[in-house]
Amino acid sequence: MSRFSVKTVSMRRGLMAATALAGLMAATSAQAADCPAVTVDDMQGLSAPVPYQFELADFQKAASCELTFQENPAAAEMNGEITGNPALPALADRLPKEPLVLIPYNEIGTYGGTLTGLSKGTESGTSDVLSLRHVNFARYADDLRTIVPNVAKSWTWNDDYTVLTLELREGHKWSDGAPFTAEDVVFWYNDLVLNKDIYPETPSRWLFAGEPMTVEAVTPTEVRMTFPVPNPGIMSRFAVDFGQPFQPKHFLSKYMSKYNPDADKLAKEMGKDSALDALKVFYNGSDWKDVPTPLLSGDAKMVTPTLESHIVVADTSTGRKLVANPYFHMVDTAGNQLPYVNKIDEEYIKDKEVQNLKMTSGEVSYKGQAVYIEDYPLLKENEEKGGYKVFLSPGLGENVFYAFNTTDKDPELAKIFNDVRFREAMSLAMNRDEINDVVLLGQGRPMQITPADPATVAFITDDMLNHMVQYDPDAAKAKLAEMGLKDSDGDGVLERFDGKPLIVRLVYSNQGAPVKMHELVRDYWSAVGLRVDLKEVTSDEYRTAGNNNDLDITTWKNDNTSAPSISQSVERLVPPFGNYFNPGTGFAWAQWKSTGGKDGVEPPEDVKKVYELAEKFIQYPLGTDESNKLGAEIMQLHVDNLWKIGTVGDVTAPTMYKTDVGNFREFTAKAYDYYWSYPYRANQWFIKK
Amino acid sequence: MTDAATPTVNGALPHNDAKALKYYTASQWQLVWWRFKRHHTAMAGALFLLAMALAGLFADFIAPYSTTTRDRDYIMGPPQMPMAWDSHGFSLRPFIHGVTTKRDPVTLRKIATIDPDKREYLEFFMRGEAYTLFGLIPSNIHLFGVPSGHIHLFGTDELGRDVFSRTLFATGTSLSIGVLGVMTAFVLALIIGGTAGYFAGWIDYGVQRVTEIVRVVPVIPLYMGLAAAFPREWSNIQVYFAMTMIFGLVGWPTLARRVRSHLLAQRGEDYVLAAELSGARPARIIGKHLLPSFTSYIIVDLVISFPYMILSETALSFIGLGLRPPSVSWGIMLQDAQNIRAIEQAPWFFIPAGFVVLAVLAFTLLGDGLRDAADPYSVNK
Amino acid sequence: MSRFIIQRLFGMLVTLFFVSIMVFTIMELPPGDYADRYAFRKYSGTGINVTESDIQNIRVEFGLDRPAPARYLSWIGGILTDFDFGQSFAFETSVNRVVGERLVLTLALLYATLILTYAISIPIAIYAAVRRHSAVDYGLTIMSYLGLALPNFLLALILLYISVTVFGSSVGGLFSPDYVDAPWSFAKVGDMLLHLIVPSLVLAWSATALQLQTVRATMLDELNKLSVTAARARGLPEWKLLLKYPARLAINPVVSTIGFDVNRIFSELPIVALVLSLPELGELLIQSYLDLDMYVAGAILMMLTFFIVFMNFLSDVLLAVLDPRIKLEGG
Repeated sequence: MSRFSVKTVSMRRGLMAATALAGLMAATSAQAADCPAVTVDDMQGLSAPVPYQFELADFQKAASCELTFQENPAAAEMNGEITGNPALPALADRLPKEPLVLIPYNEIGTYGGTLTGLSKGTESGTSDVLSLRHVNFARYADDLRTIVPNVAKSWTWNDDYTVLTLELREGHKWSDGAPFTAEDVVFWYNDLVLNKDIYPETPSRWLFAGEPMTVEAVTPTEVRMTFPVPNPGIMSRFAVDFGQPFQPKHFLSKYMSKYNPDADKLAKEMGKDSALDALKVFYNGSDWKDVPTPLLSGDAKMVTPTLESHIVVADTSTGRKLVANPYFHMVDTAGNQLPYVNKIDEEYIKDKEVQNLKMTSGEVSYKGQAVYIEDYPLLKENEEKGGYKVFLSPGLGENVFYAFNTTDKDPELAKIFNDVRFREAMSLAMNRDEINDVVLLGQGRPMQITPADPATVAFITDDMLNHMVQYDPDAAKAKLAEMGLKDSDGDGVLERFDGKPLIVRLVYSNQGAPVKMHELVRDYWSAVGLRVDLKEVTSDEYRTAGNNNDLDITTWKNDNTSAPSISQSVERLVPPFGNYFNPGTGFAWAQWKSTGGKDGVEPPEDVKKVYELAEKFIQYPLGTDESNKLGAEIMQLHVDNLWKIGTVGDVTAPTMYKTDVGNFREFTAKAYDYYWSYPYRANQWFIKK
Repeated sequence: MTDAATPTVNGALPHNDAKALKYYTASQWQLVWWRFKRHHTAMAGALFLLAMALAGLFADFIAPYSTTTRDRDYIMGPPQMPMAWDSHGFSLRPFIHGVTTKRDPVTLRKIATIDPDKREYLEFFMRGEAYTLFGLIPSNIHLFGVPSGHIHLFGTDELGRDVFSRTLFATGTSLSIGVLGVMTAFVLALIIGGTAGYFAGWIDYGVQRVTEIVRVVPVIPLYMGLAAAFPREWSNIQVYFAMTMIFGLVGWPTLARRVRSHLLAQRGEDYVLAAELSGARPARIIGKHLLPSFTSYIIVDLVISFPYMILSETALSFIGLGLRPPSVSWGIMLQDAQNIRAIEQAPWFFIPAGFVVLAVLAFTLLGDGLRDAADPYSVNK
Repeated sequence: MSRFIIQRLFGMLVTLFFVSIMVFTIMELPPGDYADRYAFRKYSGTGINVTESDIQNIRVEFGLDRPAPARYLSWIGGILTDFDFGQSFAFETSVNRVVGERLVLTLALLYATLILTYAISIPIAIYAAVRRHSAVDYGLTIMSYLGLALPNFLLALILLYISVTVFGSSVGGLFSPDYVDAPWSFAKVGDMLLHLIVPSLVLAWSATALQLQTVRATMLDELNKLSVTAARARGLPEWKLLLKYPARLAINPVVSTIGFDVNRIFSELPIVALVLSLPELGELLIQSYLDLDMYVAGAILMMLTFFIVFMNFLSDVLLAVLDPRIKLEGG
C-alpha cells in the first residue's frame, strides 16, 4: 500500500508541476492562482457542496483560483475514428463554459488505455458496460442518497411538484460538435416520444396519470417540464434511468419532413424508402443504448451523436468498440478533460464459464452484472494470478421471488393459485436457511419480499419481512389439505379439482436467479405434493412468455425496487408487479385495469386497493409522513397476499475490477437500480501504466 | 450353451477324434461362442458391462442414498475412501475419518477438514432410506453405510448430493437408454437398408432419397422442434421411451446406408444367385446369406453408435428435454461438471465421465471380440 | 459414367426439393412466431401494454399471417430467383448479411475438421489393423474413444482451460487482442490458425473414433482375404500390398459417408463454438431457432443441407471410381 502512495504522490506532484507550467505559459496575465488538484482522499481543506464534484465557478471560488484545461493528447486521433466528425476545434471550444469538475477518488489520472468489458450480446447483459459511459440529467452520488448534477447544472421545483425547471450548461456540445440546447430535450419528447410513427402508443412511462407532460425550452439552457400530477420522483428517474431525455435535434430532424423538406431525398440516398425509415435507422423507438447501431446493420457509417463519455465506432456480432467523446463535459480538479480512458472494448461472450475464464485470466477490466455469488470462491482464489480484485457489496433487489400466476390461462391452475392459502403453503414449504447456506454461501438471511427494497426505505417492518418465512412443511401440507387438494392415487402428487395431477412448469432463465435455487425449490415443493417441471430458456424467451401470460410461475431477482425506482413509478406496486424485463403476476388483472374493465379478469379487492394507494403514493416525496404511511399500507397488502413469495434477502453480490484500474472505489451497493457503475463515476477511472 | 469341454482347434488332448467331430458338427453360433470365450479382452469388456448393468439395476440397494438426498454438512465435499488403518492402528472394520465443515471467511468456500482422531465405522447391510426395488420389493437395507454420519465415496455435488449414489442410478438409466436406442436404430436400419440394398433399382432409389433427407437434417434443431411437441403431463417413463424412440429414429440412417452399400456390392456374387435359383425368399437371402457376410460392420456400427446415443441424451438434457428428478443420467450429471468451478475445485464431478469412457471402451472391446468371433471359419487367428 | 453422374445429379435435385420442405417443416415446428417477441422487444422498457392486435399487425407486416404453403413458396422462390434468404427479424437486416459474415469461418472450420479427421484416423487405423492387439493398437483405440466419450462441451472447456492456464493464450475468439484490429498479415493468419486448433481438435477428436474403427474393421476383413494371401505369396512388399488391396477398399465406407460426417461435425459445432466464442453458423442456428428468427435458421439449414447433399453426390461419384464393383446402374 505504501508503495502505491509514494508513487501516487510523486505522480501527482509531477502533474501539478506540469499543470502549473501549462497555466503559466497559457495565461501569464492571469491574476488568480492555479487550482489545487484535490482528490477525495486529500481535499486540501476544501469541501464540495455535493459529494465529490464542483461546478466550475464554485470550485474556483472555493479555492480562489482559475482552472486551466488540458486535453487528451490522443483526442484528435480518436476524433478521426468517429465517422462524420469535423476536424477538432481547440479544447476551449469543446468544453461547456461551465464544465462539471469531478474530484477523482485517489489521484489525478493519466490519459490512455482501454477498458475491456464483457456482455452476452447486443441487447443482452450489456447495461453494466453501458453504465461506464452513461450520462443523464443527474446522478446518484456513491452514498446512494444524494442526487447530484450531471448534464443538467441544476434544477428547481415549484411547490406542489408539478413544474420542474432544469438548467443546462452553456456551450455544452454533442459528440459531433453541434450545440446541445433545451431544444434537444423538447425534440426528444414532442417529436420522438409523442411521435405516433415511432410509438403508435405513447410509452406509459412517459405519461403521468395517463397524460403527457409539457416540455418547453424557456431559453437555450432552460427547460421547463409541467406535469399533470405531482411528480416528485422524476428527478430520481433522471438520475438512474437508462433512457436519456434528450436527443440530437440537429441530427435526427434531417430525417423528418417536418423539419427538412428534402428528408425523403436524403432517405433515398441512404437506400431507404421513406424519411421515416431513415429516421428509424438512427432512432427506432428505444432509449436503450445497446440496440444494434447502424454500423452493425450497415445502414449507415455513423452513429447518432451522444453526450456520453465514449461513442461507438465499431459494432460487430462479436463486440463493440468505443473511443472517448472529445466534447465530453467534465474535467478533473487539475483541469484535464475527462474521460481519462481512451477506449472501451465491449466483447460478447455468451457462455458464463468462458466469462469466468476471461475474468480469472485477467482479460477483463471491470464486471459486475452477471457475476454470481456461486463463483465468488473461484474468483477470489484466482485474484492474485489474474491481477484483479473481487469484492462483495450489498446487492439491492437480489431477493429472488417466485410468483404463481394468479391469472393463469389454465383456469384450474388460476383457481388454485388464487387461493392465498396455496401461496402461503408454498412459502412455508421452502427451507430458506438451506437456500441461503447452499446457494448464497450463507451471506443473506431468509426474508419475505416487499415491492420496495427494505434497505432503501423506512416503512418496512421486521414483521413484514418475517411473514411466513419459517420452514414448516407440515403446516404447508395442512393448508393444502384445507383447500381440498388430495393425493388420491398415492403417487406423491396432489390432484387438482378436475382430477388431473397438479403439475406446474417452472420456466426460468439463468440470468434471473441461480439455477441451483430452482432445483432446491422444486425439491421443497415436490415434498408437499406439487410436481414441478423445470425448463431453462433464454431471457428473451422467458420475458416473451411471461408478458404473454404463458407462465405458471415467474421467478427473477426483485430488482428495480430501490427507493429511486419506486418513488417514480408504480410499476412494482400494481399488477403485473413488474415490467417487460421482469414480469410478475396478474397480467389479466392489469388488462382489466388498462381497458377499464372491458377485457381481462376483475381483480380482488386487495388489488383494487393497491391501485388506489399506489397512485397517491408516488405523488408524495419519498420520506415524508404521507409517503411512509401509504408505503406501509401497500407493503402490508403485498406481504399478506404473497403475490410474490420471497426467499433470501440482505444478499451481498460480487463485482470484480482489474488492479490496473486507477481511482476505483469499491461499490456501496451492486445494483441495476442505480445503474451499476454510474454512481461510482467510471469517467474518472484510468488505466495505470 | 456349451461347457468346459471347449475344444481347441489345435488341441492335443486325448479323444481327439471326438472333439474334432464336435468341432466340425458345431453350429455357427456355437463356434462363435467358443472363439469369443478365448478372447480375453472381449470377455473382460463383457463382464465389465455386465457388472455395470447389475450395479445400475440394483442401484437402490448398492447406493447408500437416493438421488435427491442432500447432505448439507458436506457440500462440494471431496471423495471419502474407506480405510483399514490409520495412525491409531489397524481395524478389521473399514472406517472413514470424521469431517467438520467450515466456511472459509475469505473465499466463502466450504472447506471440509478431516479429523484423523475420529473414526466413523462402515456398516454393511445397514438400514437406511426406504425404497422399492424394481418398483416391487419394499426395503430399506443398503449394501453399506455409516450409521454415525454420512459416507460419500465419490464426494458430493453442489447441493450436497452423493455423487456415488447418483452415478449408480445414472449408469442404469444411461446404459438402458443407449441399448434401447441402438436396438431401435438397428432394427430400422436392417429393414430399410436391407430392402434397399437387396432390391436395388427404384426401390433403392426411393429409400436412398428418404435416408438422405433424414440424414442431412442437423439433429439439434430436430430435437428442439420435437422437444416443443412433448406434452407436459408425460411421466418420466413416457419421456424415457420417447427419448429412445427419437434416438432410434435419428440413428438408423448411418447403419442403413452401410448395410445397403454392402448388399449392393455382394448381391451379384454367385452364392446369392445360387440361393435365388434354389427358390429362397428375399428375407431369407438377406438374413441368412447376405447379412452374415458383413456382420463385422454391423457390430462395429452398433458398438460405435452406443456412445452417440449416450451423448444424444446429454444434448437432450442440455435443451431441457431430459429426464426429471429423481431420474438422473450421465448426461445430467456431466452438466454439473460443465464449469470452471468443477475443474478447479471439484474434479470428482468428472467421475461420471470416467464411467462413460469405460462403458464405451468396454463396448469396443466386446465388439472387437465379437467381430473376430463372428467369422468363425476364418483361419487367421 | 456420364449417365451415372447425370442420374445422381437429378437425384440430388429431388433430394434438395424434399429437404427444403423438411427444413421448412422444422422451421414451423416450434409453437408461436416472432411477432409477439418482436412486439415485446420493441416496446421493452417503454411500459406500453402490448395487445393481441399489436401482435397481429406485426404478424401482417412480416407476412407471418399467411398460410404455411404460401410462405414456403415465397421463401423458396426468393432463394431460387434472387438468392435471397429473406429478412432476419432479430438483426433487423437481411439474412444474407447476417449469415454471410459467418459462412467463411464455418466452412473453414468444417473443412479443417474433416481433413484433420481423415488425416488422423485413416493412417492410424491401417497401422492399428496391421499391428492388431498390440499395445499401440489399444492405446490408439482408447485415445480415440476418449474423444468420443467425453461430451464435446466438456472437452472444449477443459482444452480451453488448459490452453489458457498452461499456455497463457487468450480466451476464445478468433484472434488475440493484439491482432483483432491489425490488417491481414502472415502473423495474423498464424494467430487465427492458433485459435482454430482447439475447436478443430475437439471436433476432429470426437469424429475420429468412428472413422478409425470403421477403417480398422474393414482393413481386418480385407487382410483375411485370399487376394492378400495370394499377393503376399507373390512376394509383394508388405507396404505395397497394403496399399494395393486392403487399404484401398478399407476407405470405401469412409468415402461413402463424407457428407454425413459434415452433418455430424456441424451438429457438434454449436456447443464447441459457444464455449470458444467463435462467430460461426451452428451457434447462430441454435440462437435464431430459439429466438424464432426463422429465416435465419432456415437459411443456415438450407445452406448446410445443400452442402451435405453435394458432398454425398461427390462421395457417390468417388466411390464409383474407387470401387468398380458398385455397378453403374439405376442405384
